[in-house]
Amino acid sequence: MTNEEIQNIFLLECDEGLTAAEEGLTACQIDPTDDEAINSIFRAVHSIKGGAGAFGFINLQAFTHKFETVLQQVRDGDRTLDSGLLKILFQALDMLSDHVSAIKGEADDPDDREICAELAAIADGAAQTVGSDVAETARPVSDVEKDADASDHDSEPDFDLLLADLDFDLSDDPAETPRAWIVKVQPKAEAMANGGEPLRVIRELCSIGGKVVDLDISALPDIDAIEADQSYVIWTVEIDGTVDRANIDEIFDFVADDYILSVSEAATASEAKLEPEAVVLPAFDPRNGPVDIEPHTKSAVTPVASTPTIRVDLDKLDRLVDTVGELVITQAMLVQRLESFGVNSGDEMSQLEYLTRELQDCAMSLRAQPISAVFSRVPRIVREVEAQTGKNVRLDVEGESTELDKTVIERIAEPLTHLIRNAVDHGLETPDERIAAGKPEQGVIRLSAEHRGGRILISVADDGRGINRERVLAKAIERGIVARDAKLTDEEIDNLVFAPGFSTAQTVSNISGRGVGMDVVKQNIQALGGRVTIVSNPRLGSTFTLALPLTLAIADGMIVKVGTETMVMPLTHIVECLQPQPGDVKAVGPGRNVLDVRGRFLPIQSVAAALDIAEAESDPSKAVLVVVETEARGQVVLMVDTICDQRQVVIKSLETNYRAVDGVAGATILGDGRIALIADIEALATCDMIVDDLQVAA
Amino acid sequence: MTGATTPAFAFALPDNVDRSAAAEMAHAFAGAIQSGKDVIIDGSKVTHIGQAGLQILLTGFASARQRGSKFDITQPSDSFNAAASLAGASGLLGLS
Repeated sequence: MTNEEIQNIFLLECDEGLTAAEEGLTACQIDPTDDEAINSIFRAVHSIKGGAGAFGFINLQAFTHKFETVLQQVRDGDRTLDSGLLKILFQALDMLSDHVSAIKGEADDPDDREICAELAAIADGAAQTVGSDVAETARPVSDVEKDADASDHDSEPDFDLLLADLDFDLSDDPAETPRAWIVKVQPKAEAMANGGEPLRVIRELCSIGGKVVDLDISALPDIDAIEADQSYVIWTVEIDGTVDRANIDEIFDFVADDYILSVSEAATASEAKLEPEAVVLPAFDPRNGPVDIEPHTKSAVTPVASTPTIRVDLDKLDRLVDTVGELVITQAMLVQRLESFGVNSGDEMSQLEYLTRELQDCAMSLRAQPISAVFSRVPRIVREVEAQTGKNVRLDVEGESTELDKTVIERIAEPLTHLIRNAVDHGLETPDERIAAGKPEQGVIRLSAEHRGGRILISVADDGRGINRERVLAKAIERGIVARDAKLTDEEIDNLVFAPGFSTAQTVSNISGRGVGMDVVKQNIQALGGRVTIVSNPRLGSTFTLALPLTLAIADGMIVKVGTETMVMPLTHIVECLQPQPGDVKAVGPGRNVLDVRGRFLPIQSVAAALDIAEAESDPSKAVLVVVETEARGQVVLMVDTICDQRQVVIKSLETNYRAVDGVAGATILGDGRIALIADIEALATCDMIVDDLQVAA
Repeated sequence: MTGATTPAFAFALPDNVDRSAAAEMAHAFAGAIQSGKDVIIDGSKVTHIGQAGLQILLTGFASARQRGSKFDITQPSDSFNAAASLAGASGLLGLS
């Protein structure tokens, strides 16, 4: 493995760590005494610090060190996690995220001086009384001393504070003296592979104040049975109790999986019989399955992954998904071929079909990731908009473990950001407005994800004022988006917010209000084969729901005939199919027709004409007219000859296998072995032959 | 001369006692110890020794002693001594 590959793994782990820390801090908002949440934040930050040091990211390492110091004080119970401290930790997390972006080359090095000063002030304010406000703890020691002097009630200097400040330890209580760490190190065979050397680890332990107190060779086989590449010994290293536990863990940061390791505090003579032995926890071995960890005393073991995972190149997964797609097609062809020969495919073919579907589901699930990868960014967005608008927001998140395709996840980040910003900025009222409306001062944004009917639904709901339809309609008329005398339903008015260039913001801000956000949302979601819907109630709030496909490799399609070609039209775009009645089709120019759909005139586009397909029906009144929803032109009618079927199709890229073709999004292979082109509805709708002007007299 | 001398097997450790050297050592020591020979090891050239090499020496030492043979490490280099001491193996190898 090259350094670059290892570094890439570290960068991935940074993202995972940031997500874990965000989740931990969010959990602490609900329960500030949640030890496991605090531990998970500490572990995440500590792990990033270790990697940053190993790869020479000095700024990141320096920042995580400061962050970690405060977290450790919280973990050790030296500080109470009150709302003030939580706020600073959230800010520190955001800064950490910025640092990670910087080492990825996605942003410049952030200016962390302010937050570093705050963290340092907290860390240095060692005299904090548990339960006091963090603002108090953040004050310099000299200020605290001045207050103490000035106090009428307590003119005595705070000796504990002074001693702590001077780093004096006058305690004569033996219980206060830190006990030594006992580290048991059992290298696995892997520890000696790829240039690894356990003695180097022992040397590092010794370099921080450790000493080997025992070398257990009881497992060594006889000389004629020993294998040179296996590991048989266990070292017991005693390390000075003043050494920070984190410094011990750090040594195993990148080699933990190669060792069976336990770290415990040395028992005093009186405790020796009472204290349970440190758990010797095997680092994860895939052959053994998940590791059960017994609850234990403070002699914490090095955390290990509880779920077996491996990293696989995305290319390999894609190849698997592609091959399984081929298998699905071949299986369908086989069934069709057998039927054409009158062979009853029977139980075996049913079983084959079942297994093929299972295999396909498994292959698809390999590309699936929990949506928490995107949801974890939302709290920060909310915090930022909260700060910019002065609004008070509570974010409720549900369904973050819902899984969907990796590419879909990557591509919904931007639309989701817009929706969240919009919900806080436009949806929620200011605290004063909410109080005046009889609502709680704090607004609620509810973000949720769920699987439903083979799709995933992501909702962003707010309990704000709801869409002001009068204002939306007025603005739409003012901007020429709809006619002055247009009669629109509530739903149609709500959907105007997705119109390009639409904005009702009183003032243009950098949060939203430039009118470029919501249309981008719709465009991005449609490009993924998804849809956006709005449900809004005046004074109760609005819910934006994204309905997305679980995967981009398979789509539901309508199989149609166009002349000599069989084509697939993605169902996500189709509104309805119509067989025109006499008089429904109006000619508006040479080769240009519109269809009267319940009083609305929609332009008709011949798919055959757009793609130059021969022997197709040219008379719209004799064809099948498919009303489709498009981003650029709204509803458009596509003309095809007949509708044959509706089924799931495996999408094959034309660009990869041939070249990009205008009006064609891809291809698929049908059960009878024929290739069918998948229509690019957006491209067909924006074809030059579409009538631009809809001002047609009926 | 007072009685029969046990035949000895002399082996000079290379400068780098890594995993591949350890495999070679295991093979050589096993043959010598099984045939009842004393094993005399020259450790003067060692500049690096890892866990794999230490394990072979440790098991060679124990196996030879168990069979009543000698397993002596002579002229250990400073690096050798330092590594054995660091690993807590000096006593087990008869070096201290």
